[in-house]
Amino acid sequence: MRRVLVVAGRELLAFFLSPMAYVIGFLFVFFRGWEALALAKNFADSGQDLSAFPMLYTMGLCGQMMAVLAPPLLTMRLFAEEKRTGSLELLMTAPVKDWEVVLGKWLASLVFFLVLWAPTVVLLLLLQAPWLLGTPLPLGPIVTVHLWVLLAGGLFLAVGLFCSSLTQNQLIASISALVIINLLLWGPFIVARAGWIPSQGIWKELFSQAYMLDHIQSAFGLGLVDTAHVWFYLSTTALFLFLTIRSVESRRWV
Amino acid sequence: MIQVENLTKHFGPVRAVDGIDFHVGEGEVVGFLGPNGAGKSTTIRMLTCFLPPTAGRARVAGFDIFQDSMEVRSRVGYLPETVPLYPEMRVREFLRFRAALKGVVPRRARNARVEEVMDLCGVMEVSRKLVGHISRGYRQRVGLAEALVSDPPILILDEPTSGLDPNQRRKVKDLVRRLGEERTVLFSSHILAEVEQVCSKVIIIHQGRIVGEGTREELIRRLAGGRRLLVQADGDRGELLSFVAGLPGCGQPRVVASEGGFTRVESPLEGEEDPRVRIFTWARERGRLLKEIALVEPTLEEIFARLTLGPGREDSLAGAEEERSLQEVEG
Repeated sequence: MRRVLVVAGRELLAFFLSPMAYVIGFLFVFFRGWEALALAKNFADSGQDLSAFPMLYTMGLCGQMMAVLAPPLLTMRLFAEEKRTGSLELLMTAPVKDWEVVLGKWLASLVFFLVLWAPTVVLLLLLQAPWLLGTPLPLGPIVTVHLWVLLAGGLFLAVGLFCSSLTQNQLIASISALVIINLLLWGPFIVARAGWIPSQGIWKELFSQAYMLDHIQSAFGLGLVDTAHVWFYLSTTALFLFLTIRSVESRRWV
Repeated sequence: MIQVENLTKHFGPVRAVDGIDFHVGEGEVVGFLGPNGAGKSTTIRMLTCFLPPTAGRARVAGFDIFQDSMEVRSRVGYLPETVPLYPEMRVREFLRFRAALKGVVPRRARNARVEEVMDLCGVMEVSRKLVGHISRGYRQRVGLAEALVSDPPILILDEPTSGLDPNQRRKVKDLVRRLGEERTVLFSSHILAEVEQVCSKVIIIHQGRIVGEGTREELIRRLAGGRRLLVQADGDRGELLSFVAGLPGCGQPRVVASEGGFTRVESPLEGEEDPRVRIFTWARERGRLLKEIALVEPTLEEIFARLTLGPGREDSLAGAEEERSLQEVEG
């Protein structure tokens, strides 16, 4: 575990040393702030109940971009670059286990991902002040919506890490991660729209487990947490991390 | 410290390393010599647990490279060929990270150790610079410092002097020689002069096979076909030739040059004979002028060329000798 933290520490440092991180961070805060104002004005004009505010805000265009686009960009470098420059050789000949490297890198990307979200959480907490929106925002949905961001972020980052471990090319890593993430996120939605929802048995169960957009609409966005949903994110994340470990390990397969 | 048995690595149909056996004893500095593409780096990558062998076994510090990979890795300091360091980190920062990764604890001891190896490797003056901004020579030495940071008993260095200028090369060579005083070092190179200067033992690898192994003297005795005698004197050529032919240990002499009344004669010389005093006495008695008496030891280059080019291809030796003289000027 100590070595996991050592690896994570270095990767986190590398994140903060790259100009890319500041560009993403700045754009995110800028557009999220703008989005918050626009949405607040919308709510004020229509006189709607504010309970849907956190969900609509998080699932706004910019929030979606952040949840979907940031993980591939953050993780594409993690293995692909080390493979390309050869520093993976130095890393993997140190007395550190494959899973420790994978977990360390994933943890670093997760921490950095959360750092990117932190300003907007602060923004939502500021909007609690009654003189801004008239009434305070409901705290429950704010917490659960960000729990979703944490869970889905962890999953998407694991997907990105897996894609990065497959190639030396960062572009291929990020694009393939983007494809898988979008399939995970929108696949069930498209299936539902097309009316192909399995009606019974294990497939029905699996479908409702994997329907992320429904998770938000029916639970996280309303201030509810369904442990079945939480399990879906945790287990899928674990699956992708496991695949990453196997992929890193595969150089040692004879 | 390093024991290799029938180690083999195939990349698809390519036999990069083809059943090699060798042994490196404790405290030895061993040169791993071979032309580019001979399988040096592949062997080293297997020994450092980066690649698995296709067949065969190797033990490093008594541990199997496949089964006890962690034990091996924690006892080996490794400098890869291209020295891939993280360009965005500062030198000191990078070394501290590697020390922590390699389990040098606690923090205070770790930081002290980092300062120690930076001092040893002469990178103190760049300690605050970004790894991406320092010169190749410094990068190489930072790589060496990295290999040393956990104070491993075994060092495996893959072409530590490649791409350096003569001064930097000398510094790295001196450093490796110094490190070899208390550690086991396996040091790969395709530059012979370097290996001759630094290593106590040489392993020559060619096309994935070991073609020669032993100390420099052993290799020379066994493989180079003995020493040569060179004599240059004035006066009658026939008399000189028959005198040289009659010396103990000398084979059939031949004239290699004649210039300004002097004749230069070369003869193969067997065993440990040293006829130089005898030649001098002979010349004094006959009143002949001597310009040269020399015993020429065969060089590692000749052996290397014979082993890696095959007999009959030794004309390429001239190239090797040229490189050698260049190396000597540099070194």
